[in-house]
Amino acid sequence: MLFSSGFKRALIILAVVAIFCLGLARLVPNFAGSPVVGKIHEALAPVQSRVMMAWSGSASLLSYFAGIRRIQGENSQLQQQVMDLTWENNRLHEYVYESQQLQKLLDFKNRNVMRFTLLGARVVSRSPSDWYSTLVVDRGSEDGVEKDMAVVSDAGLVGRVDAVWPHTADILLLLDEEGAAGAMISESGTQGVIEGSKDDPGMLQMIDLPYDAKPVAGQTVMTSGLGGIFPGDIPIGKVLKFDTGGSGLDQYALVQPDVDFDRIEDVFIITASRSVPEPVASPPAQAAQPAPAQTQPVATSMTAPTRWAPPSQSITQTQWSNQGQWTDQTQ
Amino acid sequence: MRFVSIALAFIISLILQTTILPFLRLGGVSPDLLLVLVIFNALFYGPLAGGVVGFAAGLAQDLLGGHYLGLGALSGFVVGYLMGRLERRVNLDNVLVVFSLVLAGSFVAGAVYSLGQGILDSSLNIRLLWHLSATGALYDACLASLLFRPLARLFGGPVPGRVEIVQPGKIIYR
Repeated sequence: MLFSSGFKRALIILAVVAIFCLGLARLVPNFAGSPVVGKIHEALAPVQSRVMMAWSGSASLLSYFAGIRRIQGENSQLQQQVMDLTWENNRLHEYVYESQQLQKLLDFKNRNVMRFTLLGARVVSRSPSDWYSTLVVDRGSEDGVEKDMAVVSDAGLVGRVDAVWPHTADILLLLDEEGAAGAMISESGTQGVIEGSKDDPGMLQMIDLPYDAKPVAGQTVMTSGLGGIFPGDIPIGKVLKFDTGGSGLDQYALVQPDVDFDRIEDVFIITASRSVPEPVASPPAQAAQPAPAQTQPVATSMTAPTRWAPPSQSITQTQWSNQGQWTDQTQ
Repeated sequence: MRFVSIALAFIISLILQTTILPFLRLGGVSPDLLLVLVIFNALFYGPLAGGVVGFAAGLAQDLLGGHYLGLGALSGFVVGYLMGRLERRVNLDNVLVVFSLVLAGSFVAGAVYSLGQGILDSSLNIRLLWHLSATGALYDACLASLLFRPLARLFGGPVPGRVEIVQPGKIIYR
């Protein structure tokens, strides 16, 4: 037997020690604040502190290595998330841009609702050749589009309808040599013809200027309304420079177009235009003559140079409209 | 020299017991390296040395963080004494033997401590006693299985190649 020889002795020793220890535990119930314990803690504290510091360092290193796999997983997950969010962000940017463009078009339509009947159209394709500057829009004869109707954007004149099909139409841009329009410098009233520049792609040139014309850089070029295709007072661009052409016979003004032809996505086709009376002159008298003219305002446009309603004037026009003119016209 | 090494090992394990080992808590218990040393010491140096060293180690643990002064000392003494009764009767070169002995010793220590606590608090929770003692014993046994070779060297025990069986069931170390 394993414990046979000193079993009793062992039991006695264990019992004595047990009684002693339990007695000690009972008699010294609260020893945590005793001086002996304090001294032991004080003696061990520096060593314990160093051990803990070493442990913290190694523990963070260990956790780093242990976390590598987790981090790799998280990393690939986050990369996927970044890709998704980037894609979504791009899409939202696209929506915002589109919304801004549509807002501009809506503002434009609201400002000019008195003058024109506008038909919104979306550009579906562009000319594949560098020789011709045309666009194809998603409106055609079934939408009321006819050849030679003027096409504008919120920025200004775009061109005119060149060919019409049932559901689409070709737009000949102002940049094209064949897309010339009657133009006028609004500050001086100087008349001329605007066409695409032969030497500067993407620019316009104003030709057939009077001999004594002296256009200045920064002056505004608008449609004159002459020629029977384009209504008057539609912005075209700004004069960049004036060239006398040596003899003075070939003088022209280089014009920066207001419309960004490379980025144009939505346009308006002017299916009808109306003569709008001067709001400031005599509104009551004008109100008595509401009939909207379906013809191009040829000569009269020269006497009403502010009918193209820029944003700053739209409020005045709207207020005036609310006083009766618009109501009369719709009736 | 060996005495100094053993004393140093006890001090180091006491420091580790109060610093790092609580971070290795599993299932609500942390490994008791000091108890493993007590068991090894008892197995090598007999019941008297085992009991005294167990008592001292337990008392030190009590002083450093125990709730009852003497309860750790009692459990250390009981384990040291009982394990000391097996002095040099077992083959400590076998990891399974080491595992079993430490498992038993640690369980006894946990049980004695819990029983003592139950007596002093007048509330003995058998389920908690079983859980803490069994889990702690398993943890200590695993720890001892990993450390049994260096610990055996520390206490002057069996090194492979130096074991000689001179009587069936009894091992003599040279």
